[in-house]
Amino acid sequence: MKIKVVANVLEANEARAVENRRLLDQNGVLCVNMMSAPGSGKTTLLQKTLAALDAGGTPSAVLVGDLQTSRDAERLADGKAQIVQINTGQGCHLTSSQVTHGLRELDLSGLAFLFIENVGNMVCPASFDLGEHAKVVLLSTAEGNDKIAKYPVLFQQADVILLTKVDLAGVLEYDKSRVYEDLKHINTRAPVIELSAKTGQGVNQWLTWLKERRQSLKDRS
Amino acid sequence: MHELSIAYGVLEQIEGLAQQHGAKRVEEVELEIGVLAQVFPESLQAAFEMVVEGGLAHGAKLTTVIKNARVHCLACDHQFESDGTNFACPACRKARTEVTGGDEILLISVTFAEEDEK
Repeated sequence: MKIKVVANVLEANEARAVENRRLLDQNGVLCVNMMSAPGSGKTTLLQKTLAALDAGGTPSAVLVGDLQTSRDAERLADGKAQIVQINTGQGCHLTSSQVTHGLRELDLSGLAFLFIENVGNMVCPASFDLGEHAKVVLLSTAEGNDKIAKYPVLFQQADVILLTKVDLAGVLEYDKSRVYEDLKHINTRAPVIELSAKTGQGVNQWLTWLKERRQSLKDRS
Repeated sequence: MHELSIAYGVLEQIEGLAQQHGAKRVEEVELEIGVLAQVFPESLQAAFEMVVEGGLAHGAKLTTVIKNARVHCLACDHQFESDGTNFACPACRKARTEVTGGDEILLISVTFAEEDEK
C-alpha cells in the first residue's frame, strides 16, 4: 500500500522559526544570524559591535552557538548586553528550537538587536531558518579567497557579506578581486563590507547597515 | 553533516503515518530533496539505516531525488533553476536574486507492506 504524502520533513524547524520571528517582530528586535567558518572573527567583531552599541545606549543580546564550552559567551560578557550560550553537543548547526529556548532566557522588552552567533560551519547552518531577519556571512582574508565558489549556498543567502581581517590582506598577499568576481555568479544583492575588528576599518559601515535594517523592520510594523 | 537529524525527522513522519494507517512494516520511502538543503544522499542512506534499525522501517528502501533550486531574478524578474553552484540570472547575467524554492526536504510517499503478506 503506497501512500502519497508530500510532507515537509523540516516542518517542525520551520514552524518554530516563524514563531521566533513573530516574537522578535512584536518586540521590535532585529535579529541577525551570523554564519562563517570557525575562526573568521565572529566573536571579535561582536565584542566591538556590542561595545559600540553599549556606548550609544542601544540594548543588545547575543545567543552564542558552539558545540562545547562557554568561552565565547565569557568573551562577550564584559558589557551590558545579555549573553546566552547554547551548546549544541554534536550538533553542527543551530536549530530554531534551540533559539526558542535561548529567547526564553532573554528579556526582549526594549531590546534593539539580537545577534545569533551560529556554530562555525559553512554548510549546515545555511539550511536551517532560525527566525532571523537577516543573514550575515563572514569571510576572513586568512581563509583564502576561494570560499565563495566552494560554499555557494551559504553566500547566496547572505544579506550582507563581511570580508574580515582585511588588515592582514597585505601580509597574505590577498587578491580581493577573486571574491568580487565569484560573487558575480553567486550574490550581488548583498553589500560587501571590508572590515577589520582590530583596526576598526569598516566597523562603522557595519553598524550603519545594522541600524538601517532595524529601521526598515520598524517601518514595516 | 546534518543527515542524522533529517533521518530522525523522516522516521518520525513515517511512524506517524504507520500508526494512522495501522501499518506494521514499511517497504519503501521516497524523498525529494532540494539541492540547497545540502544533503548528501549516501550519508542520508547511512543515517536512515541507523535510525530505522529494529523498527518498523527496518530494511526499507530509501529513494532520494535531488531537485534544482528555483530562483527569481530581482533585476529582470526572470524565473530560473539553479544546481546550487551558480545563481546568476541566465537572462540578464546579474546575481541579484532570491531563492524561491529548493531547500525543502519532502517526504513524497511511503509504501507499507500489505497485511496479508505476513
